[in-house]
Amino acid sequence: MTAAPPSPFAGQARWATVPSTIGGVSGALVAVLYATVTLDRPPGTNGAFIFSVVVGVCAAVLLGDVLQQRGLKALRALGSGKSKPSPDAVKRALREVHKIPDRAFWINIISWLLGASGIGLLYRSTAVVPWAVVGRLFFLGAVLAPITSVLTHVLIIGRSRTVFEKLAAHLPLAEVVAALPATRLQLRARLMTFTAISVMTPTLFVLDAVVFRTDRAMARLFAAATPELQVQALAQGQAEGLAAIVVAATLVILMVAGAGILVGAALGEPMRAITADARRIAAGDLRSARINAAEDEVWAVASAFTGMQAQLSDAISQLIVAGAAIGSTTGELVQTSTKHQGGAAEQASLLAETSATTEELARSAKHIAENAQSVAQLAEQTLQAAQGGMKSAEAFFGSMGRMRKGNQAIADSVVRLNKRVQQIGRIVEFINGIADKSDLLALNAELEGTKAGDVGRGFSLVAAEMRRLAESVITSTQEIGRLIEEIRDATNAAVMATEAGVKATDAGSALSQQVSEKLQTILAHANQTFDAVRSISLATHQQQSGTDQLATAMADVLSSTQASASATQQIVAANADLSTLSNDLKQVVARFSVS
Amino acid sequence: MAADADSKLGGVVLCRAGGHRLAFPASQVAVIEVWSEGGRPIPNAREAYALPTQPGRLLLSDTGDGVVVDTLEVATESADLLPSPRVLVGGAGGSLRGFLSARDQLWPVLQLADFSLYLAGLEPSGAGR
Amino acid sequence: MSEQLQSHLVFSSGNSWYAVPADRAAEVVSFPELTRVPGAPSHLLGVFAHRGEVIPVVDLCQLTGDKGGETKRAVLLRLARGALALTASKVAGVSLVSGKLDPLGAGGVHQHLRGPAKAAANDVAVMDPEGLFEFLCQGG
Repeated sequence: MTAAPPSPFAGQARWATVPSTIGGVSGALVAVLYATVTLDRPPGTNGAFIFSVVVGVCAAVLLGDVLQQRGLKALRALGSGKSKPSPDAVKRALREVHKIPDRAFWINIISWLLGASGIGLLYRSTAVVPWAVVGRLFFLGAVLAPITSVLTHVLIIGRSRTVFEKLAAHLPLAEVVAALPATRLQLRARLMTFTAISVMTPTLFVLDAVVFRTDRAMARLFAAATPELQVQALAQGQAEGLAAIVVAATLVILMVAGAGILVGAALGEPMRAITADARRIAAGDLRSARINAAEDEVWAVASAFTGMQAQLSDAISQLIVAGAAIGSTTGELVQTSTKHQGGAAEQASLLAETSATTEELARSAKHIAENAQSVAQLAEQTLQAAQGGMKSAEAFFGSMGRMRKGNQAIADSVVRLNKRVQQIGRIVEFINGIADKSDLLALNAELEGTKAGDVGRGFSLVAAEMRRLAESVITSTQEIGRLIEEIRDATNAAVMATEAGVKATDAGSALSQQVSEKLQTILAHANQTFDAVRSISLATHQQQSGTDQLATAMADVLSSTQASASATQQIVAANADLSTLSNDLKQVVARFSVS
Repeated sequence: MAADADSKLGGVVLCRAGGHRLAFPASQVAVIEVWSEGGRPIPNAREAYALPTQPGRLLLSDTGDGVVVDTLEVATESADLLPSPRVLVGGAGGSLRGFLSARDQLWPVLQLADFSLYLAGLEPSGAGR
Repeated sequence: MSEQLQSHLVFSSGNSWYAVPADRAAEVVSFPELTRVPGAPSHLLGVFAHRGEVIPVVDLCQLTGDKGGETKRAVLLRLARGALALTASKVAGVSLVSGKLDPLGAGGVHQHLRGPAKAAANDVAVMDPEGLFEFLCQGG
């Protein structure tokens, strides 16, 4: 803890009240100077007088200092490090510092009065001094107390302002202003007091000097026995102490003048500072908002100004932030709306495509509906055809049955015919055998006849004739046989054909049965198909109307989107304007520099 | 030319081989046995007609010569031996003795032993003629 | 040989026409089922009994190497040394044959066939029955 950094307020309390001491000592010197000239001290009391003055002045100065320091407890605590520079401590210190000039003024007056009284009493107690001297000393103190107090006050004001500003730097300006409400508006009273003191002090001095000199001259005049002595006394009175009085008066006037100058300066200083700040703010510099220490109405002005400056700074800061935010937001907005514009355009084009597609879809749906219609017609035709086919198949089935019967009858007939033909064949074969034998007999008879020579010639001729007969019979029977063979082949073929026919009709019947069944199935399917197609047709019809609605809706959406796109363009334009405005705002705000 | 002793046959064995008819004088047949494939190598009458052999009956002579036929029957009644036409004389290795009319059909009558020899002289398995 | 006019029985076997002297031709027969003779040559179709006599049937087509159809009819030749039947597809009858009677071949059966001759507008081979019979007796 020993290594703790020295407090920034160390020694400030002492420093602030130093003018009090200086002013007191200076005033005392003037007073002593004047007193030495104008005070009728009994002879031989100079030592006592000097002692009394030194003790009195020191005591007064000490008292004043102690009182003043007591008025700066919080500041001293801060300076010695006893208390932390917490806002409350700083606020207390601020209040102390703000009050200290007034406090010093009154402490000075009291000190002076007490000091003068003390000196007078001490002087009388140490030497035999008339009460008049004591009274004069008190009078001198009372006359000089206001002016030195004013002087001290003005000097302390300067210093207290410095300390005040140092302290104020540790607090937010608003809190400083809040901690010191400008309630005591005493500028007029102060000026009146100052004016009164400024006027009264020289007046009283002059009055005193005149009264003293007159009194002394009168006394010498009365004491002079002769006129010569009286003239001499007058001359002596005129000359005596004039220089010292002039010096003292000069000093008083100088003090009054100095006080006046200092008061003016003390009054003008905050105003100048405020003016400088105002100029600075006017120039756009809001960085170092600071408080200007002042008193009374000027403090009200300064605090109000500081508050205004703080408010302005805040507002400008917020404005800058807001401007930046607006700028960035506007930028984003522009970007977004530009993007959106692009998006909207894209969306519009996509929607245009979609709309075209939807129109196409609508056309397709119409086409499908038409197709479905024709399919429905086809299905109906198919149904009718299937029904017709069914009837045809049934008719065919009946025909097949009749054909089968017919075929069976034919086959039976053919079989009977075949039997007859076979019987005929056997008969013909028998005839053929007879003819063959006849032929052979005739041949042999012819041979025998030939062998018999001329005798047998006739026999041979008959035999030959017989043979020809037999041969013609054989030829005929062969012809018949061939015919029978053909008939047999034909009848066989016919039998086979009729059998095949029967089989074919059987197969045909079976097939027609199958066909009938299939047609039944087809009929059922066709019915289903017809129903399905009707449903499809209906559905496609509905779909078509739906697609038409969709197409209309798409067209609406498209026009909306196009409107939206143009709106977006307007927004983009508006945003661009806004961006420009934001930039302007930024530029305006940029003229102000905020910490 | 035709000796009476020869022109009469006192019983014959009527045989069939592949649909063809054969007859042997019963006096020449000593024993009739059953013959099957893989049995004794006996000449088969089928070979004379260029037919494949098959199981049948075996006719054996006194001398041990034999011929296998498909079926046979014995005709006990005596019959006339018809002389062989001249164009057929010496046929079947000289074993043809003539013909016999029996069962309304004509049968060639063969000398059993000679026919056996004739068959044995043919090419094996009856491939030749 | 010299040209002569004599009654011949004219018949065909296969595509060829033959003529045998009418006095050698005993009759035209229709033969029943033939009995094959074991070991007989293939042109010897078999034998049949005819009026108590065993008649061999010769297929002229096979003998001459001609093509012929099956037939049940045959011409029965009766010669001094025996009887013989020749298959006949058709029998034209008895005709007078005119023409040359030179042998139609140097060897085999053809040396017993003579010509060229004509009978009833047909080209015929005039047969020498005895020669043919001898030829057959020697084994064909």
